[in-house]
Amino acid sequence: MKQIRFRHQPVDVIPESLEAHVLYVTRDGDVAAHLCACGCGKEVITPLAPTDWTLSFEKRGGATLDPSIGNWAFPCRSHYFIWGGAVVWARGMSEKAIAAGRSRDRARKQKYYEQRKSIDVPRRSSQPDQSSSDSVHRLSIWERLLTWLRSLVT
Amino acid sequence: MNQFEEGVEDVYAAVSAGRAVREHGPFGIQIGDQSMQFVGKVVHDPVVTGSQILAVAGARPASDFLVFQVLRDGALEVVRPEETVDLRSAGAEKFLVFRSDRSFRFLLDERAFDWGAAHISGGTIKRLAGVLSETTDVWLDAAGGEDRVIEDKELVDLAMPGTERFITRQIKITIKVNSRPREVDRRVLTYWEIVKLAEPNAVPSDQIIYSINYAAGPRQNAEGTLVEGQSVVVKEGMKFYVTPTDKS
Repeated sequence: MKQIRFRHQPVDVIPESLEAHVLYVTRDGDVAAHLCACGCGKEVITPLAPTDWTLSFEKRGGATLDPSIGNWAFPCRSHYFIWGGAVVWARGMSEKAIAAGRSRDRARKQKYYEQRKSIDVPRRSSQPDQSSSDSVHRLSIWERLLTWLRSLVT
Repeated sequence: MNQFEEGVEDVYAAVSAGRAVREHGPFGIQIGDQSMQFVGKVVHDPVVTGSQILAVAGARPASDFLVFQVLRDGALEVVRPEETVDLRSAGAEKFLVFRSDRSFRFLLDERAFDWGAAHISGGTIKRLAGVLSETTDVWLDAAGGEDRVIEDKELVDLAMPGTERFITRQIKITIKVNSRPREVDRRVLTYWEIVKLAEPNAVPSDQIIYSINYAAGPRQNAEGTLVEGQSVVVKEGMKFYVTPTDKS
């Protein structure tokens, strides 16, 4: 398969219609969007948050989204990583594994918000949204390799 | 609302259907309380006095109560005990009965209303104004102070000095769905209403589960996730993230 690369594009608002091979990222760092790497034309929204995806940047400028993108909800059922701007295809997953992933995700989010509720005294408005900027950081090559290896065993 | 026995002329039904009210009784009228809950009552004369309305409403002693006629435009007017109302004239089928010896005047969208109780709720004001509760806000225009929204269940004290001015306004809130601005006309949105703001063609299915996170919400739901069957209170600038994509 031909190597597909995504160009990273900072925006204030994700455009209503997207161009292929562009990874749109809001300047607030709270959400990214792209058209499915398989070429099916479906819009893929990846919120950037501690319970969702993390966006990091290579020194050479390519963007990395972690974890992988599982478009099981689309007819194409594509599953891939975007690493350093390049698409790395991953294996399909069984219905059972997808369902397990979804319930794990739900549980993690619930736990995350419950914890925040219990420790979070109302934050001052002078500290705008720490959480969203936390999710954009540099991942080491080792962390990414680890994620990829994990994807092979699930 | 056909709640009367056969042979009773339902005045509300006649007026709604646009036909003339029958010349002879019995007539079915609507009598409400201060929460605007109406029940049907039957009177025999086409011309009734305030006292007769109190009698069919079971309001005793009559001197403790006030009768208001709900006019066609929703405004309220006191009907004194000896005053008469002709049920055959259009729009004379709804009355409110209050236990009170005085009435309170307020302005609603620049129209004067007389109300028989010292308090009125936001929800009742909306019913008087004839507006949809979920898509309309009622504001109390405080002279010299800051205007504020009156919640449906909130009670406003009408006995305070000065005439209260209420204004109804269509709700218009801009939220951000996946960073894109979306205007909504209500304060409470369900899971599916938010999904459709992100994906207008979305339909419930077993294959697709949309995950919704939100942030920058009002105090009662500042941030969190939303699943099918749930709803949230939204505010200006609130952020929603909606995606059907899974992680591995």
